[in-house]
Amino acid sequence: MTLECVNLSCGYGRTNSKNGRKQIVVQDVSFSLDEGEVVCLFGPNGAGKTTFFRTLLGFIKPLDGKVFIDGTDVAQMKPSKLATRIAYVPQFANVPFPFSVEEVVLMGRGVHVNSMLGPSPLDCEKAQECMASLGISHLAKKVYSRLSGGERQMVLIARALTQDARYLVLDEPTSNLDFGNRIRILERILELKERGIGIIMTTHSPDQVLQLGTRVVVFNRGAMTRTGCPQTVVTSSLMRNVYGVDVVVKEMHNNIDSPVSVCVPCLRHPSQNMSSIKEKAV
Amino acid sequence: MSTQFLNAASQPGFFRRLAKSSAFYFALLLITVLVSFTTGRYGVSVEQLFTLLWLKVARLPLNDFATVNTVIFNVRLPRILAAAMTGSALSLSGAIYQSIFRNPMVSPGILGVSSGAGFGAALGILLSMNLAGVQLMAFGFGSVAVSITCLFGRALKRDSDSVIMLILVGMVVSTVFASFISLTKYVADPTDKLPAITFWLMGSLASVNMDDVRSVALPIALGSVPLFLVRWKLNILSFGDDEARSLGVNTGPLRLMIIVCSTVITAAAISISGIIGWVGLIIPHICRMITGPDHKTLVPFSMLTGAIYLMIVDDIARSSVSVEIPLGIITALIGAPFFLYLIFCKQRSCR
Repeated sequence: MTLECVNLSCGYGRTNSKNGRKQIVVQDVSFSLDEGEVVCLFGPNGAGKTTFFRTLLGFIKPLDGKVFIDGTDVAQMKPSKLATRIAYVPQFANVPFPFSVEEVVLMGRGVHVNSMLGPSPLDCEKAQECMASLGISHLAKKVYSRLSGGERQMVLIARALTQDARYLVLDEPTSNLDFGNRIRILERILELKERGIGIIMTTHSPDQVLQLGTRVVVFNRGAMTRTGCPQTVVTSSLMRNVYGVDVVVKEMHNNIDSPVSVCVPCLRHPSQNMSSIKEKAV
Repeated sequence: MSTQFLNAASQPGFFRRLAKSSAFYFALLLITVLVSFTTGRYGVSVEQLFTLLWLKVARLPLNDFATVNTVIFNVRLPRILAAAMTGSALSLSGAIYQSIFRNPMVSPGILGVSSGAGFGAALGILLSMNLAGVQLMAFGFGSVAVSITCLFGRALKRDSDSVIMLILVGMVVSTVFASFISLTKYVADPTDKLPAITFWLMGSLASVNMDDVRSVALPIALGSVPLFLVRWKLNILSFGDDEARSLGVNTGPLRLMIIVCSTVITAAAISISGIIGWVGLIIPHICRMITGPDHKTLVPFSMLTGAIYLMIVDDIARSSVSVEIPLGIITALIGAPFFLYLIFCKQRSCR
């Protein structure tokens, strides 16, 4: 029961055209994801995180290499089959119509619902169950597009859970959220991991990689990706290399569990520049 | 009993619940049909109508009712059926296009079917074809315009937003066919053909007969059934391609099927009615406000409301003044201010 990437290269353009016109964004990535693991996709903007997971989800065809889910090639799977294996939680869903939360969550049952009769009582039960497990049952009748960012994210996760998929792809689940909601979403993700769901998430925070990730894929513009255990991969030299900033990675105790690593940026003090400006002003 | 009713009426949302109940809608449909049969320049009372029906059912001699019989069955019945079919076809494809193009401001003509059909009809009139020929031309060119849009949209689409490409190409194709219409009008004989073209483009059901109704009933039924069957999936499609795919919908083939069916029903409706704007835009909008955005209920309600609306509009067209008013003019005169009102309401609720 694993999700496997084998020498995956992705990007845009025709896969079969020989004379160029291909725009390779990410090259030669291999990793595997077992159930109950969290793989973090980490790296600067424009390094190909989005392209990569869109390839994983079968939205775009891989330029080279393959993705296997439980031994089956994703490229050979129909969307209806794929949706029962891997679910997707977008950063935000843009709907032009005022669907209720309940309706949005029920759409996760898309594969199972008879489109003539609409969702069955069984589907509704499943949706209720998923909302309850995330503690958002009270939102059921509210209009999705009028919810706050954190609530919307929860609804999208609930929708993905109703798909009964063993793997979940989350696109920057904590972006645009305030500090509290960010932590709450991370706790939910940990909970899902405990339930045995394999999780792939993109993130901009090295702390999240260090605390949640069982494995990390670091994307770097124009360079090879690095894959491995967060504790060994995310170091100050890597951060220097990828982002061009200085950080210190330290182990810390948060009074709950085993020590965790945190990444603290070293902000360059602007006093030197400031004083020169002041001198000029005087 | 009466106090109970009053209590129910004083509860908040009573009218909303009333408007949602299907019994209310069918009653409204029935009343509209009755009114439509009885309004017009030749006055027919409800009593006469029922007597006539009784005579027909009982197969008794018509005697004095011969004229009423002609008016009801040869003139009004085809008009009422055509109005109902056209109204529901336009509203159905409007509701569906709004969901697959993820935009509540989209109308059935977005991919060029109206201007294509308009050109087909204008060309047919220019070439002195008979009525059936003109209808066939309208249907054919409507379909051709949409096919061109889809082919170019497919060729130009990038990896993600094929929907935006379709809308852009649709605008281009509409514009091209609109100028073709102008060209045919420019070269048309101004004494007889030009007025005929102009009148056709404004939409009318004045010359509809039973044969027309029969010939478009089949394509409209054939196109509506598949759309009706996949209507719940439209909810998922309105979230966009990527998400719909991840939710297990094979978006490409489904969207193509939807566009083909919508084009067939719209082109068929336009071929007998001429171009009637605003129906496919306004009706789904109103229905969405009443029933909510779930397409499982929205689609049938839109069809029913569209049918009722266009029957009423046709009644106005043939009875308000001594000459027929083209339908397109009335729907625009009702639709445009109403649309402004909707936007106004939305603005206020947002605040």
